[in-house]
This record gives sequence, structure tokens and C-alpha cells, in this order.
Amino acid sequence: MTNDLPFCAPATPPGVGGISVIRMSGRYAIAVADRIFCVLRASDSAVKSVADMPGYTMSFGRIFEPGSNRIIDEAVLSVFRAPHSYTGEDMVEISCHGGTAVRQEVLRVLCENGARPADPGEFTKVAFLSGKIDLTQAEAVMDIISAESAEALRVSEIQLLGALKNEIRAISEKLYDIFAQLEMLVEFEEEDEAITRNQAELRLRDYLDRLSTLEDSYAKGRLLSEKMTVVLAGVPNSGKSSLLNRLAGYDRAIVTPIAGTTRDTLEVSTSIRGVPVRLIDTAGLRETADEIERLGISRAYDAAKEADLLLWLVSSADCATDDGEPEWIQSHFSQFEEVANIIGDRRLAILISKSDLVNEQQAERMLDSIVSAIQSGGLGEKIRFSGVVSAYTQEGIHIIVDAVKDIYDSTGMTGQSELLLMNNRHFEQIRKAKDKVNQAIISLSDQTPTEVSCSLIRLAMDDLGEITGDSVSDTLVDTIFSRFCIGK
Amino acid sequence: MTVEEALLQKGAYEAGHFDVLVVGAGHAGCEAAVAAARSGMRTALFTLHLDSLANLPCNPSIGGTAKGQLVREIDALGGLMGEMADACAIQTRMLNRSKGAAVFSPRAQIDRSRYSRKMKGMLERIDGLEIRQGEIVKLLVDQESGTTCICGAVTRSGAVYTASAVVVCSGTYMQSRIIMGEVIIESGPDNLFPSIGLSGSLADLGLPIQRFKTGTPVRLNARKVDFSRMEIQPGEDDMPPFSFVHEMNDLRPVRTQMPCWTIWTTDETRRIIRDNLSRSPLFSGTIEGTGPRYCPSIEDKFVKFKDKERHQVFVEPMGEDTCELYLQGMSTSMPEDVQIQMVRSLPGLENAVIQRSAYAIEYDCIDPTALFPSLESKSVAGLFCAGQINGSSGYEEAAAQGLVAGINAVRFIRGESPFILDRSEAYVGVLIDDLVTKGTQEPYRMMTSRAEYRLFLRQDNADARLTPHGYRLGLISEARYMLFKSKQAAIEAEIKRLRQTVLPPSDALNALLISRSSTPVSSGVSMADLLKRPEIKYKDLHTVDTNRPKLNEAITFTVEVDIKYEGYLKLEKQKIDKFKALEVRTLSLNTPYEEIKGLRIEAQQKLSKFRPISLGQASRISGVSPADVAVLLVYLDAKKRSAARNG
Ligand SMILES: Cc1cc2nc3c(=O)[nH]c(=O)nc-3n(C[C@H](O)[C@H](O)[C@H](O)COP(=O)(O)OP(=O)(O)OC[C@H]3O[C@@H](n4cnc5c(N)ncnc54)[C@H](O)[C@@H]3O)c2cc1C
Ligand SMILES: Nc1nc2c(ncn2[C@@H]2O[C@H](COP(=O)(O)OP(=O)(O)OP(=O)(O)O)[C@@H](O)[C@H]2O)c(=O)[nH]1
Ligand SMILES: [Mg+2]
Repeated sequence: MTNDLPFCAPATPPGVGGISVIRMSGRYAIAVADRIFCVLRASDSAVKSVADMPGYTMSFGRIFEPGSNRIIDEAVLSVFRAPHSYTGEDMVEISCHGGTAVRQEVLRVLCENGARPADPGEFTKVAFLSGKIDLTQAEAVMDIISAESAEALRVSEIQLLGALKNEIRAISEKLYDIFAQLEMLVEFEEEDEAITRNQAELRLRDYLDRLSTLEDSYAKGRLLSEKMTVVLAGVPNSGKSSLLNRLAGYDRAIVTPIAGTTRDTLEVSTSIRGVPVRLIDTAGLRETADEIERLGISRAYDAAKEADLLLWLVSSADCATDDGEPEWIQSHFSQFEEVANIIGDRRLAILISKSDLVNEQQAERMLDSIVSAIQSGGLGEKIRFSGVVSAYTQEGIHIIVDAVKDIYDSTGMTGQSELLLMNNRHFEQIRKAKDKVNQAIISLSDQTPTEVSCSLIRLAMDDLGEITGDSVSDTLVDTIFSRFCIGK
Repeated sequence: MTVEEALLQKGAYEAGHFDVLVVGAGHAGCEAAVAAARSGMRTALFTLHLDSLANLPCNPSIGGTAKGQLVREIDALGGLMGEMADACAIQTRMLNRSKGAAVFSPRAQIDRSRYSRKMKGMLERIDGLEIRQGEIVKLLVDQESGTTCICGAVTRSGAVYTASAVVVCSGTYMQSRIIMGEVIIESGPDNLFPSIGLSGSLADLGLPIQRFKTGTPVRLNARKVDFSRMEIQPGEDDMPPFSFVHEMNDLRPVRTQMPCWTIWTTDETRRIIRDNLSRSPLFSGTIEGTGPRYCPSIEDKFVKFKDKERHQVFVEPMGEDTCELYLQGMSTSMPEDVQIQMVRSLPGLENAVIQRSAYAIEYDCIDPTALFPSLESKSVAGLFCAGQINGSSGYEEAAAQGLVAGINAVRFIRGESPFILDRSEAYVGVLIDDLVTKGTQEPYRMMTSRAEYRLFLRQDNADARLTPHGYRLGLISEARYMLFKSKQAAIEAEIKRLRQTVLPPSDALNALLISRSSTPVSSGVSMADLLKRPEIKYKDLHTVDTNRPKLNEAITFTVEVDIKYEGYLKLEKQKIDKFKALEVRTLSLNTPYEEIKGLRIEAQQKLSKFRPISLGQASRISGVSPADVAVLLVYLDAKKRSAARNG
């Protein structure tokens, strides 16, 4: 039966890093690995083949194609034996060299020797099926996998520990309590102990607040799970690409003295002080007849729209004037205006770049004059940060780092022991529940019959139950596992 | 016991073959028998006593909160109870008029003896149905390729009947005993014979037996009652009838409404009860059966609600030809001498003459989780159970189950898939699902809060929900179906008209709105939008709605609620869609639960034993957690996928 075949997939994303990990799980995983892997060195000299390997051990050896004995790669192979593995089944993990070609080769020999490619999320699905994790844990696993920074991981762990579940359950229980009492009003003629509609309304308002707090926390949770978007913008040659390379830590973007080098937006993921960030470099903005460049510029505007933080770079070279009084070139200001108008308030950092070309006082004067030009142009409220930076000397990099942290900290609620919603599905459920609680409050305040309020509260509880796993629906399970990618 | 073995017993004789045998002619049995006979099955209906067919041993009333909805549903499916109740009503009222439309509940006082007589005359005239006084003492079975199948039944007088299906509706009669204080009598209700032996036969066939109890108050002679001390509760002339046919012909069943009265218990009542508590079998331990929480005896009420000084009592007529009165709320199992004192402590009843005593009754019933949602037994193919035998309580609850069991007995014989209503379709569905999925620890009574989708399950739209089923099942005539369709069309047309009619802002309209404390309008507004305001009623708008067609009230009621509740119904509908998605995922009866990885051991055992028919049902079994259901979902998925891969 096909279902008995072990399934395999790469566990590391394509194209990154020097090592690729390929996972395989299933009853015959060890047998399949045995066919294509020859052990060269193992922890114990008694181990001659994969089949000999005890659980939780590794061997060094070669992956080869059984028919031709052609060697595909040298690799390290780890064995996990059921039930002590992630999936609860026998599992093998092969760490080979990272190139896409090698990876494809290894997967191919595995599949030609008794394995099959995994479905999306299948590893976690099997882990869930063997009782290793429950549904909400599976979901949190997903969040951890996609969490690329320490901060995101911390919040995801809280979820694993069930703090979110507890808060939602607590709210649900309170809702149930009101629901049950309102039911008495509906069902029976006169019931002395039942609450009045008025009291119910007041209490619902409290729970609405608690739901709102959770809802609001998503603004921040989303930054963690989906990353904060930081966009570098400015006229050509202002040093955007150089700064991106500096922040990313490696030369991602092409840098030349030619104005108009960057033609398309370009993205790097990184983490700044624990906050996951999407850094976007954009084409320098200017009037141009070049069709390709124009397209690139319109993409720059699209990126600006999504910016949680926009770094507007003004090259110190562009401000220097003969008399020493800095001044902003008129066309540069109108480019700036266009961008400033599409970003949110207090999302902007004005940075004088290439500060190493001028002295400190000059740089400061330039900054002052530009900031006051912006203020008198009526766009002052957009500015949140300003400073002087150099991609060469790294001067002022801390300003950007602080800005990222500041935006992160001020998004959503600010408490320390925070419960964050990071998951879009949870957020949607909370929103639905909140909306119903809100409608229930309204229904209690006018002449709408109590049976309607009851219906709304009942539905709100169902919405919440789908987060905590206290109620399941047909679609829920699919939704959760389809979010996983292959290999997880 | 097989037919052959039965025929070897002393005095046994072959009494013939029927397609369906119905044991018990209470509300469940009558519905079951008629549904079967009308479907063309040769049917025999047994009762212990032919003059108490469809007896109302307790309250002389039909309908009420949640129960009225059930009667409307029975009627919409083509059952008897609605028409019979209309024909025998002596007072009618719509309960809960001050609340929302979902709990509007029709209720009628019923002339009890007329009800029995009419039912008897009706059943006697149905082709293919034979009614027979006689006690069934044993059910007969056969083994067919490993499964136990029903094949007949034997009466106490030795008649051996063979049959393809048997529906047992034995009510409160199995091994029943009546208790009044220290006095215990082996008897059914109303001094009718108990049914001895049948529950043993059911137990032998693998149906688990439980013991429940219920009770009834005294009956009085009205001539010694001082009504001037009571508050009169007249009927409502404009309550619509239960039956759809009567409703569409604008028939008001009751000619002269007989009043009811209400009174309150006094300090003296309380004192008498307190002083005699030790003589109550409930507290002395004589009664082992579990009683209904929602219909407690008066002594129960005083003990449970210690702070409540008084309880309401309703005084209700038992019929047109009789002076007998029923005292709702005074059910008791106190000894007779205490009963007299208690009754006479009530205002207006100082000189009351008791005609029949109050009593508690204990009886055998089955654990309904032994049944599939079709009401067929899991252990014996072709054996169905319906009514109080399934742990429910109430005439309406019994009739609803009887109808479904009758329908499914027919479908069983024809080899068709069972007729199952789900929780989103009908109270009937909620009732049966609750019973067979959760079981019950006490006599189960219908309540509106048991229905998750209450805003949908209203008495006014019972026909829209169920008449298409009834028609498909052959229980609704062509003529009635056409009438039904025309009603639905009229509802749709009127809703459309109200959505499309836009009223310009006028002084008349704004004056009307202000008089209802509603915000005036400054631009055009559709009638439908106005109706969505909770404070505006359809009736209110007639002055500004100049083109209003003349419509039956049954139509305008539904129109109004459907518009008012549109948004809420939409939300409930979304939930219903989710709910249905699990209901339609069928689980095969031989799903290997022990082999499904990820199911907790407890769930594996529960599921193997229970054999749910769908994932939805599985999710409602106690001991099966949502996580288990998620596992089953993934399991079904994997099965489907591997089938696709292999095939
Ligand atoms: C004292 C008392 C108090 C009640 N109080 C309430 C109350 O407070 N609230 C409420 O909702 N409901 C109450 N009920 C319940 C209500 O009467 C029943 O729920 C309803 O009548 C059940 O209908 P049924 O068809 O299941 O059975 P029943 O109406 O009990 O009919 C049973 C039928 O089966 C026949 N039968 C039984 N055994 C055999 C046999 N072996 N062979 C042949 N025929 C047999 C009987 O003759 C009878 O015709 C009370 C009932 C009683 C007796
Ligand atoms: N002295 C000095 N030169 C810099 C600095 N940053 C960038 N430059 C130079 O400025 C020129 C343009 O730099 P880029 O990073 O390509 O500028 P850009 O904004 O990306 O330009 P376009 O992509 O054309 O819009 C290059 O010659 C860089 O070497 C800096 O901090 N100091
Ligand atoms: Mg560039």
C-alpha cells in the first residue's frame, strides 16, 4: 500500500545555508535509508549500516545510487526510532551539502528506493495523529517554524504553553455564564435568580474589552510573525543599496556610483534586535523616460505603502552648497512629498547619508534644514526619527536599530507579560467573536428579543472554541495543516 | 426466543403475519402505526386497553414551550397530533407572546376523553391497520448471517405474530408501580394494567434497562371550587391552530374557550408539606427511579427552592362533558390523607372534593444510546423503540419519536436508508439526537434551549422546514403540498415586496416612527429596513404601506420574523453549514477505532461500543474530545487520499 511508504522532504528552505536537511518518516524509513547510505564512521564501531544504528545516534557516510554505486554526496545521517521521534514513527534525517542539485538527487534516490514525497504538513500531521501533539500545539509549531527571530519564538512558546488558550477559555466561560442565565429568561416564565438584560449587557462589555485587547495585540503579533517592513527610499545615488547591504550584513544589492543602479525592489529578511524585519531596497526616485526604470519606481511606491518604517535617505553630497548653507534640491523635495503622502503618520525616518563626506556640524545643519523644509511643507507629522548615517563608517546605524525597536514596542499594547495573537486565523476568530459579542450588547440594549442575544453569544463561544480546540470543524483541520509547508 | 420456540409454549397459536407490529397505543404508538399503515404496510397496533388509546394520563393539554414547536413539526411531516389536538381543544393560547418569535409556542387544553375516542375512531377507519387489545409479553428474533433480526411477538394470551419490523412504544407501563406515600400498587397509570415481562424480553435482547419515575397531581370536582378566589386565565380566540390545513383555511378550532385559573400555594401548604416530608416516598427512599428535574413534585419544589415561599398552581378543565379539574403544579407522591390537606390549603379549594388521587409512578425504560438515530436498536435489526420507553417524557416528545420510528420501520422493510432529521432541521432532530447520542439520566423533556439553532426552529416555519420531507415520504397529500407551495410562494413574494418598496420620508411616516420611539427618517427607506428596527412591527406599518396585499396571518408572521432576524439567521446559517459538514462525513459502522493512531484509549473504546453514524454524532458522544474528532477527520482524509492514490 502506498500509504505504508515512508515519506520524505527537505526540512530546510531551498537555497539557504551550506547544509540541507532531508527528513524521512515511516515504518520502512530506516530500511530505505539503509539501501542508499553506506556508513563510514559511527559513534560505535559495531555500527556497520543504518539498520544497526540505535535511536538518537548519527553516522557519517556516503549517499549512493544503489544500481550504479555512483556516489551522490557525503552526509551525516541521524536515526530516531519509534515512538521517540517527532512523528512518533521511525525517522531518518540526512544532512547533506546544500545545493539544490544535490538535494534533488538525494530525494530522487530516496523515492526510487521505496520512499515517496511528503504532503504539505505531513510530518506534523503524523505527529498529531500519533498523539505527540494536539491541534493547537500543531498550530504553534507552525508559528515557531515560521518565526525567524528570538522575539517571535518567545511569543510562540507562550502559546505552546497555553497562555493564550487559558485567556480565551476564561473569556468563554464567562460568556457561558451569562448565556446560561439569559437562557433562563427565554425558557421560563418567571425566574427570580436570573440576571436582567441590563446586567448581562454590562458584563458583556467587560468581556468585549478583553477580546479587544487580544485583537489589538495582533498588530504587534503580526509584526513578529509576518515581520516588520522597513523600506529604504530616496532619490538615485542616495546610498540606499549600500545601507541595505550594511544592515543585512552581506552584499545583497549591487552598488555603483551610477545613478539609477537599482531598477527593481529587492528584499532581505533579517532580524534587528530580535525583531524580524523585511528590508526593502527600492529604485531611486526621479523623473525618467526609461520604461524599465519607471516600472521599478512604481514598485517603490507600492513598497512604501506597506512600510511600517520608511527610511528616507538624503545624500550629504546632494545638500552641499557653495556658501556652506545646506539646501534641498527642489525636485528632490517633490519626490519626497509623493512618498510621504502615501505612508502612515509617524512612520518616517529622515536620514542624512554618507555622513563621512562632511563634518559633524555640516551634517547636523543639513538635517535641520531638511526637517524644517518638511515641516513647512506640512508633512511634519510623518517624521518620527531623524539622524545622520554612513554606510561606510557605520555611524548612526544605531538610529535605525532603535527606530525598529521603538516601532515594535509601540505597536499594539505595551505590557510586558504580553499575550500576543500572532496567527491570522486566531485573529480572525477573535474578530468574529468580538463582532458577535458587540451585536449581543446592542441587542440587549434595545427591544430585540433575548433569544437573539443568546444566539449571538452562543455563536461567539463557538468562534472562540475553534481557537482553543474546544470545538472542531471540518475546515479547521484542513486549514491548520495546509498552512504547513512540505517537510514540516 | 424464535417463532418456532414460541409456538411450543402452552396455549400458543399462529396469529398471522404483519409487516409492522406496534406495541403500545399511546402517542408514540398511534403515530408509528398510522405512518406505517399509510405507507402501505399491513400494521397491527397493540394496547393494554382499547378505551385509553392515546391517553393523556397527566396534564390535559398539548403544546407549550418547545412542545408546541414539536406538535407543529409532527403536523408538518404528516403526523396526527396537530389535527387531533385542534379537534379536541377546549382552550387555546400562544405562550410567550411577550418574548421572541422563536419561543412563541402554541398550547391547547384538551378534552381528554374526546381525544381518546376520536383517536380510536380514526384508527379504526385506516386501511391496512388493525388495532388490538392485548399485552405483548415477548419479542421474537431470528439469527440471520450473524445478526439478530426481529421476527415477531407473542401476546399474554398466546397469539404468536410474525412481522418484518416491530416498534415498541410501551410508555410508562413496563414493570410499573404506583406510589402514594407508604402505599405501593403494581399498576400502570390510571389504574390500567402494567406491562409485565416485556422489559425482560428487551433486556434479553441486549437493550439496557433503566428505571425512571414521574408523577401526577390530583383531579377535583369543579362544583366545590370557589373560582372567585382565583385569577382567571382565558383562552385566546386568535391563536392559530396546530394543523397546517386548518391554518390555511383560517379555521379556529375552539368554539367556546373554557378558562383556566391560577392560584398560589399558601404558608399552610408549605407547613403541611414540611410536617409530612418524612412520609414522602421521595425522601424516605421508597422511590428508586429518577424523576424529571423540570417537572418536579410540589414537595421537591419546596425542598429544592427553600427560599421560595410560594409556588404557582394552575387549575385546568379536563373536558367539556365533565366537571373534573386538573391541578397543574401540585404533582405529589404524598399519602392520600396528606394530599387532601394540601389541596384544601389552596385558595378557593377549601372545600375541594378529590375525584382521583395524585401519585408517582415508577417504570422501566431503555437507555436510548442503544438505538441508532433511526430509533432502530443497535443489537436487533428491525426492532424500533419510541416514546417514553426511550427515557423521554411528554406526549409531544413521544408522538415525534413514534412518527420517526414508524417511518423508519417502513424504510427498513423496503431496504431504504433511514430518515434522520439533524439538529439544524427540527426539534424532532434535536430530541432524537440528544436521546440516542447522550442518553439521559432523567425523564427527558424538550426545551427550546436544547436547540442550538433556535432562531431557525420556529413553530411558524415548521412546514417550510419539514413538509417537503413529509411529501417525499408519502405522508403529505398532493393537494396539501400544493397548498404548502402556494404559502411559501406568498411568503417569498411579500418579503421581496417589502425589500423593494421604498417609502419616501413623509410626515405621516415620521409621526408613526416617533410614536414608536423610533428615529425619524430623512431619506427614502425600504419597508424591510424599517421592519428590522426592533421597535417597529409589521402591523404598525399598514397606514403607510398602501399596496399591502391581504395575506393570511400565518404568512405575515413568517415574513416579519424572517426580515427582522435576517442578519441573525445568516450568522446561524453559517454555523449550520459548518455543523452539517461534520454530519455528512459518515463513519462506517465497522470503523476500526482500535487501530486509529492518535485516538485516546477512552475514545477508542467509547466509539467502538457506540458506533456513531457520522463524525458529527461522534463529536457529541461524551468522552470523545474535539481532539479525537480532529484525529478522525484526518483519518477519514487519509483514507480518502490513499483510496485515490491506489485507485
Ligand atoms: C402519572 C404520569 C405523569 C406524567 N407526568 C408528565 C408530566 O408531568 N410531564 C410530561 O411531559 N409528561 C408526563 N407524563 C408522560 C406522558 O404521559 C407520556 O410521556 C406520554 O404519554 C408517553 O407516550 P407513549 O406513547 O410513549 O406512552 P404511553 O402514552 O404511556 O402509552 C403506552 C401505550 O403502550 C401500551 N402498552 C404498554 N405495554 C404494552 C404491552 N406490553 N403490550 C401492549 N401494549 C402495551 C399501553 O396500553 C399504552 O397504550 C406522565 C405520565 C404519567 C403516567
Ligand atoms: N562616502 C560614502 N559613499 C557612499 C556611502 N553609501 C554609498 N556611497 C556611494 O554612493 C554611491 C551610490 O550608492 P548606492 O548604494 O548604489 O546608492 P542607491 O541609493 O542605491 O542608488 P540607486 O540604486 O541608483 O538609486 C556609490 O558609489 C557608493 O559607493 C557612504 O556611506 N559614504
Ligand atoms: Mg541602489
